Amino acid sequence: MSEIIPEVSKDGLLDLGKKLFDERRVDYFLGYKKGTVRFKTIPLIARKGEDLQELWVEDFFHANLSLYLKEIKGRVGILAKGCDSRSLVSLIKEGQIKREDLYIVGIPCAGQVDPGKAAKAASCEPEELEEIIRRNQEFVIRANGQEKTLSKTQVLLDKCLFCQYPRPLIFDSLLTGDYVAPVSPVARAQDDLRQKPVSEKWAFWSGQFERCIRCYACRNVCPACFCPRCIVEENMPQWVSPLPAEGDNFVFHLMRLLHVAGTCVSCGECQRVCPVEIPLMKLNEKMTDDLRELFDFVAGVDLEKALPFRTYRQEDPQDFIR
Amino acid sequence: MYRKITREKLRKWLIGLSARAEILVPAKMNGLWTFRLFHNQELPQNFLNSRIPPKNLFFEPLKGLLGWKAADGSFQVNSCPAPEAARVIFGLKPCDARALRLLQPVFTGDYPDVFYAGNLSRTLLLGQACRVQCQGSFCSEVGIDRQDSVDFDVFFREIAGGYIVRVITEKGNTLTGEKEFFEESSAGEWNSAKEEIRGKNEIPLFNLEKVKAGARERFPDEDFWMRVSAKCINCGICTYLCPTCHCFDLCDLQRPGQGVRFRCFDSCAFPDFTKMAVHNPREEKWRRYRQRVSHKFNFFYENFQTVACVGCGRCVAHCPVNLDLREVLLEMAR
Repeated sequence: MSEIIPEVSKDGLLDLGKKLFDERRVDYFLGYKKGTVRFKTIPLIARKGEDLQELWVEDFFHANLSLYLKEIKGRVGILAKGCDSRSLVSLIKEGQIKREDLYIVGIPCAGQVDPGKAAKAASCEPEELEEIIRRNQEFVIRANGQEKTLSKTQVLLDKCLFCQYPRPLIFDSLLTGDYVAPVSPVARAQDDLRQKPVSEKWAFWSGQFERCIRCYACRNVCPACFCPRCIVEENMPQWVSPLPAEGDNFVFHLMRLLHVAGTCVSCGECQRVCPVEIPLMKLNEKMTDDLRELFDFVAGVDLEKALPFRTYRQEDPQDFIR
Repeated sequence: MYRKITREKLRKWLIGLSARAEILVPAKMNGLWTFRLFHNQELPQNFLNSRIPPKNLFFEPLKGLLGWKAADGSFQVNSCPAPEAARVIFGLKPCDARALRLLQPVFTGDYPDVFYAGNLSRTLLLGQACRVQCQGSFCSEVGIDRQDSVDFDVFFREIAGGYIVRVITEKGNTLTGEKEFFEESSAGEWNSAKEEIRGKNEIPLFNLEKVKAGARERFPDEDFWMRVSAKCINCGICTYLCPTCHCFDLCDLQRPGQGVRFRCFDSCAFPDFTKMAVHNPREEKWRRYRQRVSHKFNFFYENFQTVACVGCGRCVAHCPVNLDLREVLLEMAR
């Protein structure tokens, strides 16, 4: 191994960030600071070295910070977990950002906690969870004055159980730590829903989309949803009505799904932030599986491979495009 | 006036009422607490605030207002009727009931809204005392008592095996006057049923008077609003989960020869909120975030002498980026 990895310690991270500002290598630095709600962390958008005092990278850093690259233009320093780095790769490929404008600091991630899932496993309400403590290979949950030991599978976000990229794919330096998947990766079991007849799938998604309140958090938190103006907001003509009715909700979600195909890296933020808990990742996983099978394409894993929807080939199997 | 009822008798009482009215009770659906039609089931214990506020049962997210039809040279417009069927909602929390009262002057003032007024007058509000501090909540800071409230017809406090109830309105008195179900109780019994709330405040207390003053003073401070809104992602979670947000949009659905005018929610977080033909006065995110906070703690207070926030904590607990209203209020109160 001749690769030299510029490692930075947790204490050194603050100095590195300040140095980047001092040397005018970045205009912004995107990190995390301590949350005000249990098991949450706040995205920190630093504009100068002093803003970095609050930098905090201990646990519960769910957010995929690359979402802010839609809005923040210029040279940006950014913390990235392995999975988040795929969004960066994807955005560079899509021409949304330039690699040279980024200073990426990879951060080790031992899997992100899903408090809803943990509460369910501990048979309590998420509100009743007092503490979630990592202990060796398990988690200790304190709720209603009682302690329970839970496994990683019971506590971590589903995406973390199938983590394939614990180490960022691109970076300028790495925070010291272990870059290993939280659990030994197993193949994701295929969703049972896929084997069901269309009528059942339709009934399932009707039930899910019926709850959609059209807050657009799934779209706004998505790094891949970078259109300056979304079609659902067009009103001349109005393609999708703003009414939170089943038909329009269906159109919104399916259109968004197809639109991010090839850019979506399955970071799962859409599902995590959904206030009515629609299992959107079921759709994303189907879409990414189809892309792999039909186009031999996995989003955000290499900077070279051509994008499936940007590539024209004479030998395309479908007539309409030839 | 105080009465008491056993758990089993409460269920039977509601079963009896369901012959005369639609009954809604807390239920967990798809992992979320919500209000669902009562089908004689056991009532849940220890339920928490519904994820979607019960405001939506009074001010609906999707509501037909009028319809029109054109045929053979004639044109007809029909208003949608105001709701009348009697309804009972059990298990409302003090914060959400206060929110319904706060919205009353908005919807029944100079421009009366028959739908909101109709929904309110047809509904018997049965409240229940809180036992757990909800995540992100700061209800006590905005003057809500989690164990007592007069915003209901009847307010329930859970005791072993049943409930002590505080009868507040005449309507509530008539309905709980049925001796078959309710026994008389006393202020003493009511007081001893008061419970300690489980859970703690996550953030230091703030002074509401200072917040109101701060909301006025901070209004022109663009740097402040830019700083606090920087991480906002412009989604509608805080407004759509808010029990007092009430901005709406009108939308026509047209088919050949007919159409319906709907009202649906709108959110000041959206870039197109208040966008007009040639101008958008709130193009920047910080202006829209300022609008949200100012509407609640400045303009609404000016107009109705009360702040339009009940501290339920939904916007705090469910914000994708943990933009904590409490922190903003704390800073305004400084």
